[in-house]
Amino acid sequence: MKKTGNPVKWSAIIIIVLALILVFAGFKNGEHKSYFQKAILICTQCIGLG
Amino acid sequence: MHAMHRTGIKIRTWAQAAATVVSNGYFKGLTNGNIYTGQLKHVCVPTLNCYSCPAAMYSCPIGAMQVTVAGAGGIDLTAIHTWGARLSAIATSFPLMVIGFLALIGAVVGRAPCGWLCPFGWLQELLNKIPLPKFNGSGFLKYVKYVILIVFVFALPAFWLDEFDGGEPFFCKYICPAGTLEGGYPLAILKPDLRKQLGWLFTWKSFLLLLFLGLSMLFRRPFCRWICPLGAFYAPFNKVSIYRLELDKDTCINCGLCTKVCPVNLNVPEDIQSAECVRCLDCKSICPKGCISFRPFGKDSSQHEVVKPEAGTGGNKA
Ligand code: SF4
Ligand code: SF4
Ligand code: SF4
Repeated sequence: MKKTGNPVKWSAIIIIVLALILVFAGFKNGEHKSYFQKAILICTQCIGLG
Repeated sequence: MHAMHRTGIKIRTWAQAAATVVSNGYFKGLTNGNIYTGQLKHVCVPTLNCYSCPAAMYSCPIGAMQVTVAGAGGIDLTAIHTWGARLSAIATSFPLMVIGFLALIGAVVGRAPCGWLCPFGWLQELLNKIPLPKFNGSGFLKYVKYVILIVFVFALPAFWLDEFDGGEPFFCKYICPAGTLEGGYPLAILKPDLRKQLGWLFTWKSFLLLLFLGLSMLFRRPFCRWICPLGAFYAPFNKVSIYRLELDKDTCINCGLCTKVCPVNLNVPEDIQSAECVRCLDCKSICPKGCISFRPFGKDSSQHEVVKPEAGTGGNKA
């Protein structure tokens, strides 16, 4: 059977491992708290107030 | 159309509707204009969904990236005056968590959140159903979204500082039509005090919103294909994701049905693994020969024959 596509790549697995490390590192940094602080106040830039 | 195909497409519509409601389920906010301030806002949705929408329950990943890069992540902005200090501050305030979260999704399913979950992507699809002449647009435009990701989401918030040495979310401020639609208009309607303060920026953003809503009637998902920085972030993951689309060229009869339904105007038999594919699987559902598959670690024959669809089926190589 002929198919288009690329060979299975380990790249996906490596990205997943790196991504998990990033999520963990960001969490340890308390990054989610900065999203929270921004997200619970009306963002004047988002709504076009400046 | 085969019954199964109809069901397949319907499931996606349901998923898009459900995701829209789940991300914007704070209905109380739509009555008084007070946004949700609960714990869920610590978490981002995997799609472009404005966190200033009075109904939004989660954070927007593109907003979160800009806020973190702009230095709201606990950095002492008053201590940062030189470029060198600013660079080291950025290194410590890089949006690791949201990049990791989006990369995790991208590495598994590629750009599927765009096809299945994003309210603004869905809106563009719905508008495209309006019977008007349809166009393809230049293939070159797809590169604009990468520039917007790099310049408006990362570079400008990091380096263009205001009088208090703080950065700003430039994409939100000057471009995002989802913010204008989901945050700007509902709040302008519900909050008379805010409405009075709106000026030229709101006019500019309203113009952009109307432009993209109008273009969506003539082009398939123009904002997703050309402008959206989140689409730009996900796009390269289509090339490496665990789940991937494949097309069996031996059984394909070049009927062109897949190309006809593709919401991002791909010439599907040629571009099945395009970075522009939103993994909606409409092509898979409609193919009468069942030659399109979506599965983990798809096999490859490393044969890249080009199968041309029949003339007159439309489609755009992206
Ligand atoms: S590319 Fe389109 S569907 Fe994807 S996040 Fe952006 S607006 Fe939503
Ligand atoms: S729907 Fe597309 S993949 Fe299926 S037979 Fe027709 S051209 Fe080939
Ligand atoms: S190629 Fe198929 S899965 Fe990808 S966007 Fe087009 S129709 Fe959807």
